[in-house]
Amino acid sequence: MKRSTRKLTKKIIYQILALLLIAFLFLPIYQMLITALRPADLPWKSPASLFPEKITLQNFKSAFDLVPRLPRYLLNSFIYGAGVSIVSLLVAIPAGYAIARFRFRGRKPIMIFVIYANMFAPIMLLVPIYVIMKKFGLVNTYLSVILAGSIFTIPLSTWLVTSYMQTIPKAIEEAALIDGCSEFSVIHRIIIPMISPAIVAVLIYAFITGWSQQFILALTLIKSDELMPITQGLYQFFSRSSVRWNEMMAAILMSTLIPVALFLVVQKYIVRGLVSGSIKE
Amino acid sequence: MKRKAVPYILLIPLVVAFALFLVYPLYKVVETSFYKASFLNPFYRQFVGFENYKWLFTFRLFDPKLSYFLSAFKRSLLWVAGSVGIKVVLGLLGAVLLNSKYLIGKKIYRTLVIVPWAIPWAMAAMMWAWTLNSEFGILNSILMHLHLIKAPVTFLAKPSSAFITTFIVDAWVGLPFMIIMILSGLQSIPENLYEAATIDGAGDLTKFFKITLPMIKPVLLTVTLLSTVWTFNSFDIIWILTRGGPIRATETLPIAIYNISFLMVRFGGIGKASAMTIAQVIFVSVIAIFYIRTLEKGVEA
Amino acid sequence: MKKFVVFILVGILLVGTMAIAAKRTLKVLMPIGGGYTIEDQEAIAKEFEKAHPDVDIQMEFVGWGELWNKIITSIGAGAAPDVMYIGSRWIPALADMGAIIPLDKYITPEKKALYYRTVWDTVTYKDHVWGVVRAMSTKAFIYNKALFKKYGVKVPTNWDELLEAAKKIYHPDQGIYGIAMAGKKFVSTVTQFQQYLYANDGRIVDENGKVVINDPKAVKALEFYKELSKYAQPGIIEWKREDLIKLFEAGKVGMFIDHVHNARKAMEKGIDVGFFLIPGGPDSIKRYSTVIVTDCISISSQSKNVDLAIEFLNFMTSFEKQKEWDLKLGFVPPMIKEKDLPEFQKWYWKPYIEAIRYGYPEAVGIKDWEGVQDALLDAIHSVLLGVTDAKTALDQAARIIQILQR
Repeated sequence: MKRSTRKLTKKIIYQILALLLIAFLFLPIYQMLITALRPADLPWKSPASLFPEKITLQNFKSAFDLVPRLPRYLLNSFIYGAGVSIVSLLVAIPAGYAIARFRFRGRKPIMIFVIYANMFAPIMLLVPIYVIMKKFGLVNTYLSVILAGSIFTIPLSTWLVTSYMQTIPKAIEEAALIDGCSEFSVIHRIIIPMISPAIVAVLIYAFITGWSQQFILALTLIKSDELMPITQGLYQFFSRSSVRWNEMMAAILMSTLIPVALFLVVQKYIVRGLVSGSIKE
Repeated sequence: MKRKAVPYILLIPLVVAFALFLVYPLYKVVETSFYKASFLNPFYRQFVGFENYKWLFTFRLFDPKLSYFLSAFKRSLLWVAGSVGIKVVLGLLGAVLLNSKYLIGKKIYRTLVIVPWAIPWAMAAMMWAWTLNSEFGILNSILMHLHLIKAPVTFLAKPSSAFITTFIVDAWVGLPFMIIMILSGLQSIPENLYEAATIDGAGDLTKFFKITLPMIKPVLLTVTLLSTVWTFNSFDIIWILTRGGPIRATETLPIAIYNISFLMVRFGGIGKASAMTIAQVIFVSVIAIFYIRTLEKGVEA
Repeated sequence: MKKFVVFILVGILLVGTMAIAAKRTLKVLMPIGGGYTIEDQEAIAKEFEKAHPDVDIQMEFVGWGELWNKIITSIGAGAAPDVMYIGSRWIPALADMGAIIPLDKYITPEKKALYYRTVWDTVTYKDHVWGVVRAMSTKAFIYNKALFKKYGVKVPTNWDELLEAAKKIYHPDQGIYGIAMAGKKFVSTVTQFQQYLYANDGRIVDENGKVVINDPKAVKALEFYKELSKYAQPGIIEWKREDLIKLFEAGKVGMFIDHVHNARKAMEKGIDVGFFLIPGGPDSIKRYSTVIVTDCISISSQSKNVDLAIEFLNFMTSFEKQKEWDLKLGFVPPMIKEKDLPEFQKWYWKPYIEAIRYGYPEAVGIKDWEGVQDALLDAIHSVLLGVTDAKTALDQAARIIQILQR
């Protein structure tokens, strides 16, 4: 009897704690929701009402008036995300294969450098990256942000591929090699299909990073409105003199839906990839 | 083709990418740190030797004791300690909760916890800016409804509260990653360890400190170090919420670097910012060494 | 004579072939926000292109908060837009670095005569003109007549009465504040403080280039700012001047300093609005004061199409276009002729146009505005938050501004 009551209290406490955690994590999301749904012409109340007094979908429409290039920004973000994930893959697959399957001189320094590179952030290299892009004539192009952004996703991507590859047995490749396949056709025909979960993880990880975390790179490298990613595009309306919060929140809501949905669908792969990636060698 | 050459060929893209966009820029930063140079007039450069490094320790703004750079650096350390502290404690707590057999609806919670991860940092910061608004934001309203406060708190208006608030928001952004990583560590602990301990009559706390913590120590250490570096580099959140204010209370090293690059244009801002960047690179490298050591140890074990 | 004809013919030929040759492009940087929309500005570009079929205008837009950084990086990249919309306060830094060109020889006497003299002062540095003013603003107090009546407050004519008025209206328990004030890290906060600084005959830098931001007049102004803030909305450090209108519209504040277009917004929301000019401080002999802020259009020194850029500049700032722009955005007209337009005869315009006489430009003599602005913001914040007193804070700011003025 006593044990079961203790169990019950535990259950209740855990439930409450979990709900509190979720409340913390969803606080700004909830704020975004109710602001996006609240009619823009309703005067603000102080203290704010916890639930929208009236609900409207108008803000989602007028967000496009406030930010006329919203669809364009979203498209751009998609391009940046896709670009970064493709570049990351193109670099990470061969590199990961080399590190996982070969014992060669310089292997360890390369591995360490990959880990070390993961510690860098755009802010540290902003000015020289800018100068280099300028030399290549790439300032204010999609390519500038994609290339610069990839540098910060390549390390973890390489790591994800390496560690996943280490979990699969070598037997199949070895058999293929004996059959006379070249190293490169082994990658193409055998490795890539086998490591597809890692590839998915890299794609999504790099996509999300490219989508969302290139704020400061874009801020420096991109000048014309046509090329801005959604973060920078919306930030302009945030950094302007007076913010129209209802439309702003509606715009943010619409533009976070895609990455969030994508993330939820493939979260298993990412988590698996990340876990195997950064913990075990 | 010789088999020996294969790995090197495979590594070409990686090496080229790193050389071009990481090593070369880094070299450029080092070089620029010895020049008086500014964004506005890139053609005007003047070699000044260690002048910029001297500046790091001599240029004072407010603090009578510490230079501008040192106070930003100190601020960064405290800010990182606050943010990473929250991430580790709440991350551990969250992970234990989500792994507990007493929690109903674990699957839903696990999905929900991940959501903030996918929200771009810049947008998360904008959402928080509105949430934290003292007059019209929902956080003050909730606290007032709960009778925890009487008058609205101006979170971002006072130096100390802005400092704390910004690192809490940063923790919010990094928490999902932390929870998920620690959770995966917890899941790898064999159940029979706990069963044995239960038979020995160990309580929950004993089990936590004697089994859970030692078992996930490697995971915990790696994610903490990783998170320390990422947090140290954090820029978007502070920039959007406070731009380093009020009275520079949230001007961490990355923000200071950005500010000096753009604000002191007639002043040779880029050279000085480069010297500050070198200091940041050194700090990050120190942590990286610890990180690599832990990873190596993990391999041996 | 023959020679002359040949010369003309060759000239016509040259111009003709140039027109047939590839389209000339002109890159133009424009801000968005504060009433500036992408469509309105692109409409101007379209119209110009229609009149000049061989010209392709590429407009780039950037939010006010990022405009400075964007200009700096573009210039640094050697990819500066030909035509740039800038705050006139940035002229000295850009001019000193050779980033923009002096426009004296392109401005005709007729063009010059269109504007008030003070307007040209705001874009003059080292005896050259570096931009053509696009937008100008003066400011005045806007007040809520109902609240003034309710608490028995008269329209203030000096600083004591101003403080008294704020004090009487201030009823925080009812959510009513005497005055709305700005403190956020933003350019308009400095302008708000400058209103009091100038009203008390203080300056950041005097005519001889000496930093005087810590002289007694300035200290007095900052002390007054602090004193007033006791009767303002809470957390003023979170507020930009541009957002204060939300409080005013909600009927929560007695008065504040703002543009006329915001006052009109409040009228539309049903607030009974009155106006009064910013009264001079105790150390000033002038009765009223205002800060004159202008934005201007400048031309990059990297431009390879200066003549075309000038043409576009003149097109944008023609009397007709300027008139349309001022009417649309509700800015104070910088051209003398504009004041006769019916719109500017309306009662609510009177104080703003009258204020031009009492105005002093925002950034005269300041060489590196962004750094100075940062130093001033730190001083304002330290005082508002009670970290230091006004004298210490402004001494500190003066020290930094001196470094920046070198």
